[in-house]
Amino acid sequence: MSIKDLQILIVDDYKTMLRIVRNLLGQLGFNNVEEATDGQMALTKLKEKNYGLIISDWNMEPMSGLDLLKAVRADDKYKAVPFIMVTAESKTDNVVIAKQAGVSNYIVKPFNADTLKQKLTSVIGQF
Amino acid sequence: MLEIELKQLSEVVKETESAANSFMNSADELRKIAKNVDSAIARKLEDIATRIYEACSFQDLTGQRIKNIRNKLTLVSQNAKGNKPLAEQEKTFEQSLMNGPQDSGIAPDQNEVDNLFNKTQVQKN
Repeated sequence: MSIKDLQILIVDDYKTMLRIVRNLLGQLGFNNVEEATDGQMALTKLKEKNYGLIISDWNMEPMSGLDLLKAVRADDKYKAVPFIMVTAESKTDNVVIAKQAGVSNYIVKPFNADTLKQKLTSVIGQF
Repeated sequence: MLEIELKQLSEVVKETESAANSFMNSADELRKIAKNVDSAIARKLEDIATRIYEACSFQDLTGQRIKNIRNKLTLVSQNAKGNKPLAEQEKTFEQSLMNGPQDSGIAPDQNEVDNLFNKTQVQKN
């Protein structure tokens, strides 16, 4: 199985952003992508399928990306799944708290395809 | 009070979503054309399509700013009806971390975030 067969879950309450991330992942060769529009939906999907990577926004309600990250890291079944936060939240507190909570990497919006590739590589290895 | 203005802001978000989708549809068209032209031109078209997709994140970022404005206007409207002094809603700690995009003059770039991320130690429990 190729690394590009990796099952990826992308989470954002803006459908435009889901389309953008899906498209950029597709350009990198990752086409096994599923979507959730909030943290709770993401958790439901995680129970149904094994994902190799989660890419999530932070600013979502009722369940934020930070709450999703904490829930993922608290569950033995998913706690090792790489988790990249992709968010407009760029204050020092946000970055520090996300890292403390176990995020694998952190992308600030707006971002470009090269940044996404770089962070994916750092988290899942060369592809 | 302010219902019309709040509705206008909702319409802005819908219109920007529609525009972003139109741009991305055009980018998809460029990619289809790229499949039938020589490789040098194909690469340029692919690159243009990618830049269009990247730029369409404007819809998310403007939407977040508009959401902040809507929340504030809703608070003003509620306070006005109740004749109470304007007061910030009490936020939980988690809510206080959700502010949306910072202003362009002070928002850090990816390099600055990377530096902070890399030097942040993870406390072991």
